[in-house]
Amino acid sequence: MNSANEVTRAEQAAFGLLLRAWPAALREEYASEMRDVFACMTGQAARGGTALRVRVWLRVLLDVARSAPLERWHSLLERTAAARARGIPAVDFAGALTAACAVLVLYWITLAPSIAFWDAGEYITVGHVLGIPHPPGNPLFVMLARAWDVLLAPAGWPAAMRINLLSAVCSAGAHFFLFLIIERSFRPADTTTRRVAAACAVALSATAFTVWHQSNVNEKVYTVSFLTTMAALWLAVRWRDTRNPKLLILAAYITVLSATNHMMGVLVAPAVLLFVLRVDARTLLSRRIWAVTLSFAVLALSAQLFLPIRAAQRPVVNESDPVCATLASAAVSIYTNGARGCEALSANLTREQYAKPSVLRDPNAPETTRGLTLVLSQFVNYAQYLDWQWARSIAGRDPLFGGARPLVSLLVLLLTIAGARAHWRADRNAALLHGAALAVLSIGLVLYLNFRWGFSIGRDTFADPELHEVRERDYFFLIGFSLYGAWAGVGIAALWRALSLRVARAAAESPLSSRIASIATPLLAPRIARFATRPKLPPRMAAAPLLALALVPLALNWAWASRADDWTARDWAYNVLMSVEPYGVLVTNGDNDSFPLWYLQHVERVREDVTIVLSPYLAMPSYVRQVRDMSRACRRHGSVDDPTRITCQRPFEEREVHPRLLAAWGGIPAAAPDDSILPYDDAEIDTMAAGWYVAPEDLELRFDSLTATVAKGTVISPIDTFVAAIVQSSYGERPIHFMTPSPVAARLGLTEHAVRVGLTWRLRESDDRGLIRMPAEGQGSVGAFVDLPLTDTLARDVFIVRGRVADPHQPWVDHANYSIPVQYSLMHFAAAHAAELRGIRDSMSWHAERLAFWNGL
Amino acid sequence: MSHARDSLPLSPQVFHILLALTAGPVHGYAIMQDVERETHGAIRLGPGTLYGAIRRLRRDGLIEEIDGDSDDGRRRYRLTTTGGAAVRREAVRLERLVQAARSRDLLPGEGR
Repeated sequence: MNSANEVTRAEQAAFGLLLRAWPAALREEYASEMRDVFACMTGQAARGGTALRVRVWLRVLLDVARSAPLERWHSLLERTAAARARGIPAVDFAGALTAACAVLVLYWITLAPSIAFWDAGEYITVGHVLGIPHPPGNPLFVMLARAWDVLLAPAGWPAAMRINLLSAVCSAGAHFFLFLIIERSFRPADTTTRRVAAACAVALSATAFTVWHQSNVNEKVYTVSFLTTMAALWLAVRWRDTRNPKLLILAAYITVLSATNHMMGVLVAPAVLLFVLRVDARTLLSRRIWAVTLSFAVLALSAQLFLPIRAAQRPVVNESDPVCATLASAAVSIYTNGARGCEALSANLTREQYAKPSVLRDPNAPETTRGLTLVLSQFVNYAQYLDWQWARSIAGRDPLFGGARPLVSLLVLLLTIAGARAHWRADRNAALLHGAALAVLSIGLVLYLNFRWGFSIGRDTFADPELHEVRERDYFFLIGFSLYGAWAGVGIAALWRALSLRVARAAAESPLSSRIASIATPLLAPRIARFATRPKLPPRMAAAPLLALALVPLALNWAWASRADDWTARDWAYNVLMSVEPYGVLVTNGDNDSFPLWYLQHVERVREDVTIVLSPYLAMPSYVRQVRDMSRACRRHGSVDDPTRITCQRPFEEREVHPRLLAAWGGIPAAAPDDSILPYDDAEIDTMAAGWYVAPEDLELRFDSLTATVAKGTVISPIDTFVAAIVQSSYGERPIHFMTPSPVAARLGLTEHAVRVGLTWRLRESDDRGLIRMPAEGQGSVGAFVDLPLTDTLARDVFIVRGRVADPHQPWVDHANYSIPVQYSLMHFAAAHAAELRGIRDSMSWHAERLAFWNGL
Repeated sequence: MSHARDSLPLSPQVFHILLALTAGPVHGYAIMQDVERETHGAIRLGPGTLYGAIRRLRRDGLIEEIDGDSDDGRRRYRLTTTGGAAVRREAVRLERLVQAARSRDLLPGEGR
């Protein structure tokens, strides 16, 4: 061919790549001819100059865009028809897609418009800035979230909402596969029966409280694990039909890839292995399959390389700082699961900082063996969470088997047993797969996680909060609850089928009205009879009202699971940051008073001038260095340009602040402070981080004009040392605020100098005037002094309280973070009390009214 | 093999591909050029569209490949009896449409 000679090799190679867009069947038959046609087109164009050549390429690209999806669709139809001809069951993609869309609509309607408390602020922030969250670092989630964030950016929604939608889409995707699994299990039953069973399974699973509540906000990374788990289960089921080993290899790849999101995704592996063993054990003897699987596993784990690569770029959120000297050492760490190689990455992958005791030890006393009482309490804790799943709004404020909720739970338990039985009778291997996965993700997890006493269990017996989990941990069991609910849904469908069969049988034997009355259970008889006695009503329709049971969790969980119009965490962060004066330092205590602030600063870019010091993290020298660097002066122009990386002190932006607050501050600094709040080099930080002391006697600390006393016998940890160092270097230079109550301020004897300013305490300064001293007995909670004008301005003119939290009919869902409304209460209490002392009646009554509101939540 | 009537109506691309083959057996690139010429550039087939259509037309028995490569090594295709009938039926169908349009004075420059 003459024309082919005029096609460059690069063009040939590029077209070769484009060919991959069309299905293999078309390529196998016509690839050489398509190359020939392309060569002819290009060759002819070459004679007409570059412009013509470009036009040919555009034409080819347009052709790919137009014909490749069409040809792939035709190919799918052909393969499906061929599979059916070979006796392989078709896949009900249409039914699954409909179910998944319905689930997505539900999650969309109840989607959080912004962040939530706990880890949502952290995960949404790292998703937006490509940061590194707490160990194990979840690189797959971070990369997925960032890609999703960029993809949806044109929609104009806030970043938090975009990433929340990722969670919803992952869960909807998981339900797509759940539908397929259940639908397949009930073949060769008729289409309606199969679809009803699958739809009921999806309905119960998707509206289980924890599944729903974790799917409408991105608080954790478990919805990604949920998706990969369900995908792996379905691939196994599909492999049984087709015996195509590629499906098993894909399941293995997805599962290993999921490990780079969270190890939760790997827990499906035992169930899949058991399934393969039962279906065709010889598959596991194939060396080729193992070799290919291993290659894909190596590829999947390479996602962990994101951690050292991004950590080296110093992102603004870089927990555990897993930096490695070389990529080779990082790879050794990854492929030995932290046994060798790069120390920082290994520590991150093995979650070394949490120092989790063995599953055989008591987490509250690691030197003792895990006792039966504790194990029992852990299962009670699991049962408590299971009890939340189907009717959370019944006696919702009672977290422990409140009101009539256990009755609903009992009903669902019976349905689950019925569903498991029906599944077993329809498809033993699929039921075993489902049951094994459920066992691992419920009983197995309870035994492995080895929690302390549950957050709301045994509070009377074990009053010390340290003996309890810091929050409710139901989210760990998300996938297990889904599988449990799916069986309950199948149970509803089985009951419906049984009832409709009885209706049909009875219809063939006796007059309709008497038949129905005789077969329907006493509970259902009147309603069923009313439906069935209509002329020509098919038995399935007559029994259909029973299916409404599948909507019970939807109705009884809605008020507690919905996060629609919930701005509470976002507005809390805004209110806290506005309580801090320009270039202030804010020492925080943990998740809820820190992660929402990260989100506001690094994603919404509000009050980036405030230096947040998450006090527990000061135990890690890498974090101390980050705080030092974030607060150091900028040496060159434009050095703060990249908002996703640590550079230097970010500027105060006057336009972000309400004019009345600016006026109340009485002026703002002309420039950023000159020095970092931690003016130490790396070696000094390492030395300070190693020191623990016990105060041998009362120690007097002097910070410029401020004197504080550390009580004799106080244990001074590196955290206290670094906070003292910050106060030492910054007092008088920067306002120093604490989230309240502050254990570290108490240990350092600073509480007596704490001035209530909005939602924070600020250390009293030498030029403070007009402060109102609080009675001694309340100082530990509200502060020693109140700056009433400033707190008044903040609470009345600046703070945002809107949406769900402002609606007195909406419940405060999570009692574990009830400290948030308490913080508002304390502020209003302090302000009301100060106003009373000063005789400012309108201020007193306004704050008293707000106090009553927050107390009533 | 399908009946000619089963394939009707034909899409414009398929109609023109079959039309190109009425003159005798030709290879893919020749079909592409013929369609572009006959439609004055209104229909420009790309390689994916062309061979996707050829694959389906062969499967449905409207065209077939001539045994043995041509002199230039290219595969050539020709109409089957069913394909010929299909293109004729489609032409008749289109003619009726045109006549209907003409009877209502819809065609430019052909007023009664």
